[in-house]
This record gives sequence, C-alpha cells and structure tokens, in this order.
Amino acid sequence: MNIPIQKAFLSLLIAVHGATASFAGQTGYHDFKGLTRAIHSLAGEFRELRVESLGKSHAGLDIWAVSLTDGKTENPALCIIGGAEGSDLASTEITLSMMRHIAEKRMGSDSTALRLKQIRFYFLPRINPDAAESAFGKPVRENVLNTRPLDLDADGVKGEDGCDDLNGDGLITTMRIEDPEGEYMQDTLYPHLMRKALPERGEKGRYKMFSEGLDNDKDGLFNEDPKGGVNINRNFSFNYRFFQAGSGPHPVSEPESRAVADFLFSHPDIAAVLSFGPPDNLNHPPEIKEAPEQALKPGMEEEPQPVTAVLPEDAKIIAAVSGSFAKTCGFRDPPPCEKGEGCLADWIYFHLGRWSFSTRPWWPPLIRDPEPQPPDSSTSPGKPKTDGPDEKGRKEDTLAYEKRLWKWMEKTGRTDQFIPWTPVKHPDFPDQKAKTGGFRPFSATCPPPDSLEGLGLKFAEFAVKLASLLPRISIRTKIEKLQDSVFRLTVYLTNEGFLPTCTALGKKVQWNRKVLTELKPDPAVRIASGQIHEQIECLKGSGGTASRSWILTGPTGSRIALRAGCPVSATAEEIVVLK
Amino acid sequence: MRKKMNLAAGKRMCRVLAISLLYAGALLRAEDMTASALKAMGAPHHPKTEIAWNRYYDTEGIAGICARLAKAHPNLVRFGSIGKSVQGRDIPLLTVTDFTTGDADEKPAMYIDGNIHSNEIQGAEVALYTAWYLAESRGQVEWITGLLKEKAFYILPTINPDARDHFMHEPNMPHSPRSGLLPRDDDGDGLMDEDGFDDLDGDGNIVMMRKLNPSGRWKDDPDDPRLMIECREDETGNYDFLEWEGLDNDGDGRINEDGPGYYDPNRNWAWNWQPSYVESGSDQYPFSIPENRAVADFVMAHPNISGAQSYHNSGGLILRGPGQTSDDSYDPADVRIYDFLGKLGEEMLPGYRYIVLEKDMYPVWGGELDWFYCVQGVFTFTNELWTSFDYFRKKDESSGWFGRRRENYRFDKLLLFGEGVVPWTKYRHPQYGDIEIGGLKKAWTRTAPSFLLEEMCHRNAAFTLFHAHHLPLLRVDSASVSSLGGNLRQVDVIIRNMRVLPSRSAREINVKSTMPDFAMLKPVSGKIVAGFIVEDPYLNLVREQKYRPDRLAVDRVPGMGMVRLRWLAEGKGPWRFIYESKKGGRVEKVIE
Repeated sequence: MNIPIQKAFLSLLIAVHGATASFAGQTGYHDFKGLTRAIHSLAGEFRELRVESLGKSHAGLDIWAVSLTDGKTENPALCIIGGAEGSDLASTEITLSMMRHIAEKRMGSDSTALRLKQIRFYFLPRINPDAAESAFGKPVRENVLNTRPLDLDADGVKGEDGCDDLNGDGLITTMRIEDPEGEYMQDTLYPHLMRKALPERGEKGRYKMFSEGLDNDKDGLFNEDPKGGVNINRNFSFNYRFFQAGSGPHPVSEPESRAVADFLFSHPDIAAVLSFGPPDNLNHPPEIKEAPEQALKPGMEEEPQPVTAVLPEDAKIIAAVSGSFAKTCGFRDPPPCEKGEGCLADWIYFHLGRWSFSTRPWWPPLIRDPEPQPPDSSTSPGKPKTDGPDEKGRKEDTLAYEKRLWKWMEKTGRTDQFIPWTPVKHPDFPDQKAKTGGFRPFSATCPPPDSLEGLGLKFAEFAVKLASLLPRISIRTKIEKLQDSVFRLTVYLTNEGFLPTCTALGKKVQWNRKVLTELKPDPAVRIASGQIHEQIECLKGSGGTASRSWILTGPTGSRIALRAGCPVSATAEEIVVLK
Repeated sequence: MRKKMNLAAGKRMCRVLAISLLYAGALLRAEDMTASALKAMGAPHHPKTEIAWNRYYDTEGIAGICARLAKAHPNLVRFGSIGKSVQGRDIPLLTVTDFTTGDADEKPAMYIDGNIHSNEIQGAEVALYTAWYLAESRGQVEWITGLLKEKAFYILPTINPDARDHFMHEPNMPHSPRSGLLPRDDDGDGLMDEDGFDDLDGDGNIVMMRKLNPSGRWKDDPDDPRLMIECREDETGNYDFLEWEGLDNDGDGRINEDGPGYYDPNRNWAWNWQPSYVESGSDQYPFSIPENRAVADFVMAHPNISGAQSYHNSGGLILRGPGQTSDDSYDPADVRIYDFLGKLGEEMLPGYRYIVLEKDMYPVWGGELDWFYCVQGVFTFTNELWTSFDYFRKKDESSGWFGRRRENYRFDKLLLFGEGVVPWTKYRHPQYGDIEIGGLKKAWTRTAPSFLLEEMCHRNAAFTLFHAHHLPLLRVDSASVSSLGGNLRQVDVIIRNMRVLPSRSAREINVKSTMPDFAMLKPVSGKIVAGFIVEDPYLNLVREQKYRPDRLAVDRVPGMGMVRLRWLAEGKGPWRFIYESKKGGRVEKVIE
C-alpha cells in the first residue's frame, strides 16, 4: 500500500473514532481506547498482524501484543516493547509506527522484504496501560504506577494522599513554599529553575519543594500515598529493590509484569528484545570488563554467585549493536544512563538470558552554550524533594536535564511548556508564600507529536537492521565411507548471523533451548556412535561453527533425514544418502 | 471435558463420604473403648473425631479429616482452601481458634504448613495433628483453652498437593518428586517431563539398578547382603551401581533426566531469589509456581500472622535463616527471640538440633523461611522432621540427614522385619541388559515408621503451640488522668505485652515493611491537644507526634515489655483508648 493513502486512511479513522486523545494541549498520543483502535485498525490493514491480549492490568486494560508473521512456526523473532516506564508515552507511539513501517516493508519484493519475511516480530506497545491513562485524565499528571491499591505511607489507608490540582489549570506541576528550613533555591543562571543550595558555597536554601498537592491525610507529608501502585519497570527480578515506593510487594507481583514475563518465557523464538526506558545500553554500551579467572582447588565445585555485570563476550556484541544503532538513527548527545532497579531491559539480559537492547525513545537535543557556566550548578543533583514516589520518573542530574530542556524550548519557541511560578493559596501553609509552576507534565519526556513519525521511521530502520543480525544456522554434511557398510557422517553447523545463538550468560539459563541436531535414519541403519539427538550449547555469531559426527552402519543408498536448529534460528533440513 | 471433571469430582466426594462413614463407625467403637480405659496423658480422651496417627494420608484423606474436624467443631475449626494447585486440587486451609471469642483474622496468628517438598510428606500429618489436638483438647486442657482464646492458627497441611499424591500413588523413591507438577523441560530438548523414572518391576517403588561386573567397585555387605558396600582400594568387587530404576525414554543417551516437574518449590520465594544458574530449581521468577503464589498471597492478606512454621524432612533440625551469610537482615534483637524458641525446641524434641540454615547446613537463595522473616517480619522455623537418632536413640551427629545406610538396613531388619527393602531381583533392561533391581522403599528412611509417627506429631505440635503461646498478647496495664488546670488534662496509658514476641519484629521496623502499631485516644468531646510516646517517665523524656496526635504511631510493644503513652486533652473525658497492632491484636479501654 502506498504511504499517503494509508495515512489518509488512518487520519480518517482517527477522525471517525477520535482515536487519539490529547493531554496538555497536545494531540498525537493515544489513550488506551485510541491505542486499542489504532492496533486493530492496523491489524485490519495488514493481514499478517495478529492481535492478542496478554492479560489485563489492575484497572482491567489489556496488555496488547501484536505478532507479525506469515504463520511459519520456525522463524527467529524480534520483540519490541514500549511503555515499560509508565509515563513514557512516546515509545508506545514509536512501537505503533514501527509496526506499520515494518509490516509495509515486508510486503515488498526487494531483498529487505525477503529478509523480513524470515523474521517474526512481536510488538507490545504499552505494558503499563494504567499509568499511561494518567496523561489523559483530569488533571494531567505524569505517573509511573499502575492502579494496584497500596498503602504506600503505611498508615492503614490506601491511596488517600495523591496529588491535587491546586490552581485548577488541569495540570499537576510542582509547588514551592518559602520556608527558612527549605533546602532549595533559585538557580543563579536560570532563576525559574530550582536547585538544592550548596552550603559549601555559602548558599542558603529558601524553599521547600513538593509535587502539586495537599496534605490530604494531615500527616505532614505531601502526595505520598497516591492511588496506586506499582511501577512495572521496577517490578522485575534483577536488581529488584524491596520496600521502595513503586517497586511492589515482590518481584513480578503485578499482572502486567507477569504477563510480559510469561509471554517471553513461552516464546523461545525471541532472540532479542528492543525496549525503551532510561536504562540505556544502545547509547551507553556496558563496560567490557574481563573477570579475573578464579582458580578452584581440584575437586572443588564452584559455588555459583549472582551475575551483576554484563559478561565481557556479550558486552562486545552489545557495543557493536550500539554502534549500528548510532549509525542507523544518528541520535546525538544522549543524557546520562540511569542504572535500573528491577527494570525490564536488565531482566531480559540477566534473568531471561536473551539479547536485550534499550534506549530512551527521545530526549531534548542539546543546545550548546556559547558563554561559560559556573561548573557546579549544572551538575549538582537537584531532584525536587517530594516525600512520595518520584512521579516524574526522572532521577539524577535533574537540573542539568532541565537546563537542556529549557534551552531547547527557548530555541524552538516552546517556552510555553514552562508554567511560570504563580502564587497560590495553600491551606496547609496559611502563613507562607506558596507558588505552583514548572514544566508541563510530559514536556520533558515526550517529544512534540509532529516528531513521532520521524522517530518511528528511524527506529523501524534500526529494527530492520537488528533483524538482519539475528542468528541463522546453516548446515553442511560430509559422508566418509570407512568400509562397505560403515560410514562416518559429519554435520557442520554454522551461524551465518551476527548475534550468537545465545548470550554468554544465556548459556547458563535453563530456559534457553540449545542447538539441536536430530537424525532420522532409515530403519536398516544402525547408529554405532552418537545419539539421535545431539545438543550444542551455543553457536557464536559471524560464522561460528560446531560439528558432530556419527558412525553409521547400513546398506549403501540408505537415507538419513537431518534437522538442525534452535528456536532463535530457522531450522535447516537436509537428507543425506550413505554412499 | 467439563462433564468428565464433574464425574471425577463426584467420585472424589463419594470417596470422602465413604471415608467419613467408615470413621463414624470407628467413632462408636472408640467411645466404647475409651469408656473402659485409663486416659493416657497427652491424648484427648473422648475425641469427637477419632483419627489414626500411624499412617500417611493423601490429599483426599487430608480433605476428609479436615471436613470431619470442621463438622465436629464448628466453633473451633473452619475448613477452606487458599487456591488451586497446578492440576486443580484445592490447597487445604484449616483455621483454628475459639471463634466465640473473636474472628481469627483479628487475633495474633500462627501459620503452619507442611509438604512443600512433595516427598517430605509427614509435615501434613504433624500439621493435621496440631489442628486435631487443639480442637479435641479445648475444654479439657486449660492451657489449650486459653491459647485458643488468645491466638489463631492457619494450618495448611500440604502446600504441594499434586505431587504429594504423585509421591503416594505413583512409582517414586524416597527423594522424588520433591518438585511440584508444573511441567518443565529439564534437558533442553523442547519436550517436557518425557524421561522420568520407570517402575520396571511394577511394585510402586523406584529403587536402584545394579549390574554384575567382575571389575565393579561394589560388593554385597557380608552382614546384610541386601546392602551394597564400596570395595577397599585393594579389593575386587562384583557390581556396578547404575542409575535409579528407569529407561532412556527419549533416546538421548540419558536415563531419567527429565521427570515430573522439575523445580524446587523452596527456592522460589521472593526474598533473595536468584535465577536457576545461581540456585538450581528456583524456576522462572519468584512465585512463578502457583501453589507458592497462593501461599504468598494468603500470607500478605493476613498481616496478623506473627509466627510461622514449615515442616520438611529429614534430619532432626530446627532451622532458622538466613539462607546466605551475606544476608544481614536478621536483627540481633530478633535473633535473641529465635534463640529462646529454638532452644526450647531442642529440649522438647530430643535428637533435634537448632541451627542456622546457611551457617550450619547449606546456602539457600529464595527459601520460604527467609521470605517470611525478611519481608513479612514473621518469626519462622523450618523443622526437618524425623531423625536417625530415633533408630536406636543413640546420639550420633555425623550420621547424616537420613541416617547411616547400615542403620537403615539394621533398623529394617530388627524392627520392620524386612518390610522397608526391595530385595535384589533380576530384570532384563532394554539398555543395560541383565541387571538386578533392589533397595530402600520410598516410604522408608525419610518418613517415620508407624509407631514413631504419633510421637513425632505430638512433640512438634507442642513446639509450635509454645511458639503460638509466645506470640504477642497486649493488655492495658494502667490508665490515669491528672488535671493540668483549666480545661486541660493529662492522660497516661501503659500498654504491656505479656509474651516473648514483640508486636512487631525489629526487622519490620528496620525496613518499614509493615504498618506501625497505632495508639488512639478518642474523646467524647474536646480535642486532643498533643500526644507523646514517653521514653523515660522519670526524666520526662517524651517524643511528640506533631501530626494526628490522637493517633500515635508506635514502633512496637517489645516482648515482655511495655510502652508508655501520654496525651494532653481538653475536657473531662471519658476517652476511648484503642491500641491497634496488626500482629499483636487490638485492645480497647474506656478511660474515665
């Protein structure tokens, strides 16, 4: 189908169904209903797209999974997961857009299309739909938590102190209270941005900072017990942190995280997953650290310990893919990488044992400053102090990020995305000056809607590139006649793809299937050595090989059917004749 | 499909009914018998439910006993289910308390489970015995009557019912299945559970296979030829030990490498969980196993659980965590309480040792007892039931968990008259050729023989009853009102804990994993001006709670200790004082 017509078709759909909703005056992002319609209308357009619900969120919203396949069972697969970080709306749109671009590219007859037909794709555009709905409600608020009722402040009441829209502008921003005990001050260079005062520089704080709201339960804390919940991107079992607001009662406690985990466990064909979030190995590939060899006493068994860093063999591969990402997409100046806690992307590598690639979907481009800046002020941690969970979903170097954001807004004429500090009457601070203001919700994490299409196209290009790197096993056979009816059959397996059939870490993981070579000889053939099933742990990429051989006895002309492969690579078949 | 299931359920019902009728008959006879008998100390004299404690019950048998107990003691025992197993069996729950004195969920509660490892069956009998003994002794033993007023018991005789039945009704050895029955691919060939044991001789036991070999390194024991012993370095033997009884079902050159399951349900708990390359059998993620998840959900929904016991076998051990030395979650204040109870257990359970899992046994990631304590803050023991000390009641600490092999056979010869061993029998094996099959039966070495089972049940039950006794018991020690002039009064309340366990463990306080206790003062009129926790009444060291002074958050009432509370209040009262503790219960008093 040609693109303009399809676009017209889509916009017609949107017009009819109102498929996109708006938040903070921005259209172009989908709420749950809109997303559902968009997915189904795409599936109606491309018959190889199949929609399935992996389960329901706490609020009863489906976690959609879309597969793109011609129905052949033995293709390796690439899985793309959006919206793990609940407030990340952009990656959902990008995933949707990738779905369309890849389905389209696949329909052609060029070499890319042919290659894509040998790959199965899975798309999970939004795995925390509850959190994303906060963008479309009133007031608009950035939220990373699902709607599981929890008592985050342990006072016996669930969800009784969330944010409140004090000034009635329909947005949850931040508030600052003038208070001699406050630790915050206005930044010297950009006085509308707030940062922590640095006593070592003789600075004294003047403000307390909170997210916008009341102390609804009168316990002295603000917005510390919102309705919800659990951050799905803190709820996976690798580097999971107990007892944190948002991490949930235990790893994989939520229907959302469980649906995703069960989906991935039950799809051994998925060789690699591309997901989105602040943990970012595509722009910040892991350090290649060779672990020192540990000498074991003879006869001693090693007590296995948890693996906490990417294994060097894998880090080298990830670095190469990262290079390919930079080349394909050309994104520049990525913000610093955040270390994940219980996050999806790390879990896929460390506990599921598959290839995991992750990046933020977008960040404000860096506008380089001609004039020098005081060195400290732009790097000091300036995370606004809220007593509740970090609903902004942003962490280190908040001030540096805000400065970058502001300068980009200035340059592109979007300064209206910053709500100026405005006095507000605050019942909890009757005798103090209170003001609300700050960046509009989502303005720091979601790109302007008109840039989504371009991003989707770039990521689709990268996905096509990634698909071309998946393992591909080929076989070569050799028959040696040792005597009249005695033969040696040797099977050589080669991985023609770039990615090894398994990560170095994945070799240890019992859920990854090994490369299996199966023999089905004619009944007259006896196997004198070797088994009818032979397993190979892993085939390295870029032509990595392994071989197995059998001694067979039987009449000349007997046939042996051979199959070799593993779920992350298409199966190779051959019939050999003893001669 | 549905019809078939209903039919099966109907059949099961009929069997339960038949069992109940059978026991109703036995009950009459039992009453005749107790009428002309001297009551032995320990046993309830005229039990409403007569139960034989010299055998092991399958899940239907357990359900039958639970149903009878609940029917005979409607004010003491309730029978329910916490969820379904993989194969759709109910995971049975008995709630035991004196329901006439309050709801179970509002009393400090003791949690007891058995049989998480499916072959470690006797925990179910100990757990059932506990429920039975409590119900039948109420009104006869004063201490028990009091205990049932104060405390509640959640008793889950088996939390692995599918594989319990598999152990009993399918061919197994003493160590299998251990896992539950969620199908898993253990050998990486994409097929699940396709190469387990095979009961070659059809006797219901999986035993060893041996093969004559003139250069074998094993030989018959001259004292008991049923037993094989290893040759000395300079000796010639005549046998090879092969595998456990089985075939290469999937033709991959390996025997018994992908049986039912396989995972270890006691490595699948959320605290310190690690993937299977670190802890074998931990399965896919914490609580990926439905039975464990049902237990965890039940426990999280019952914050009144403050003590817990799980039963395993064997070795005669009273275990506490941590499962890893690197885990410093066990607070010294809590460890003192563990030690107090553990040493009591050693005294009550001759041949049992109270030890720390990692330090004294082996390291465990993702064990049940660590989740209970480290996340829920619950004081938890795991008992390894049955000890080789009971063979000949000789202290022998190096005899291992299952006793020395010679002792297994000696005991069998002298006290079981050969019943526990399958003698070597010839068999023609498709892979190995002519072999012999023989060895210890599945119900011997890890499970107590009939005549020692009742003793094991009683002693272990008694240990958990003391644990339950020492769960917190809160009382208002004193309340006084003094005038501060004008309309202002000072209200002083002392709340005391009469038992050894605190109303919240130090662990919960350290990690803030649970709600604090709340001390509330509700005026009829006038307001509460200020509220304090008094740290030292003599030096007037008090801690003010600035917000909500009428509802003071208290860390805990320590074991055998007290907390002093103070309010400044308007008016003359009266005030209603309420102390609410999830684990310690609720007390109220009107203060005039």
